[in-house]
Amino acid sequence: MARKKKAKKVHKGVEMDMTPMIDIVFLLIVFFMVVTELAVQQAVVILPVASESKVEEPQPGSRILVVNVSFGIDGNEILQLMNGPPLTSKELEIALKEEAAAYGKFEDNPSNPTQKLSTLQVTIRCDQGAKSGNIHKIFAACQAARIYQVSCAAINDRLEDPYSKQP
Amino acid sequence: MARRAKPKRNVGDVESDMTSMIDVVFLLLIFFMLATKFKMPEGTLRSYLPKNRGESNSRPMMSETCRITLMMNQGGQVTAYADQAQVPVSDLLDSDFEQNNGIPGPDLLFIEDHIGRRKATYVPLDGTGTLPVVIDFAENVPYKYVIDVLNICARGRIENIAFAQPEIPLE
Repeated sequence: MARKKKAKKVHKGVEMDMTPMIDIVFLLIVFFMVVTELAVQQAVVILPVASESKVEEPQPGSRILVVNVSFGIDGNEILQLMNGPPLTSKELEIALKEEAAAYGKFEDNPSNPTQKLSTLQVTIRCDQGAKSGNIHKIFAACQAARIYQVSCAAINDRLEDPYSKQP
Repeated sequence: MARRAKPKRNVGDVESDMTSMIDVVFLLLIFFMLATKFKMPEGTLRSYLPKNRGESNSRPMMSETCRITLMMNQGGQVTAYADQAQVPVSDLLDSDFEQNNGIPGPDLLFIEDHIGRRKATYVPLDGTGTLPVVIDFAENVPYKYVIDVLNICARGRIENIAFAQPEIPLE
């Protein structure tokens, strides 16, 4: 039986094809770049947990304003509209009225034909340790601006303890 | 003057050194992996305001309501009342907020049971609607407990929820 000839091995110039590795690495970089929130888009608020809270997709054409209640560096509570400056309850009311007027979409009030209600939506993002009295202020401001679609933000499922990350 | 000879180029063997690029790319990858913080799923509890009440902030409630009262004493302890019954303090620090403060809150299961019992025996005057629940909380009660009660109401499919107006001091 004839012996098979051994394949000649070339020991010179062994090269590894790096292309698929670089492809994957670039893909990972792009993924993490997209996912990373480098700039803080919203005020840092530790929301309460509510198992019944629902993630609702905003309807096309609707506008949601976020009212944040957070703690400042000095420990005082700060009320702000979106990422704006700290507001008093009266300033919040004026700001909401301006936003409702700028949005310009109204619907009829079933009990008062002369009055129009804004279809603007407000989401309250209040820190779980903040005083509940803020809710009264925000509700009163919304009522004065004739905004009735108000929701309270809460975390649906907590995967980790947010306090452990605080300095 | 003698011309310099052009260096010979071997066009067929162009190779680039990838090492430095791979170094930078890995560095970027590690940076973004460490900097990434995934956003928590954030939901909302609907608390629409009554739209057919004009500019008034309050409305008269019927007598057949379930009232959950939340108060806070000077020691930071939140005490709750379900109608006239005082809610016992919970044995456990059942949230990270309570663990951080070291003070347990009211027993939420007691409140849930109470609302459930009231709902089961509720007979609406006009034949429709669910048990009206009034959440009456003091200004200084942490917001977490208001959301807890609101969450209990949502779980019990109670739609008629009202927040009591704050007391206005008489001058």
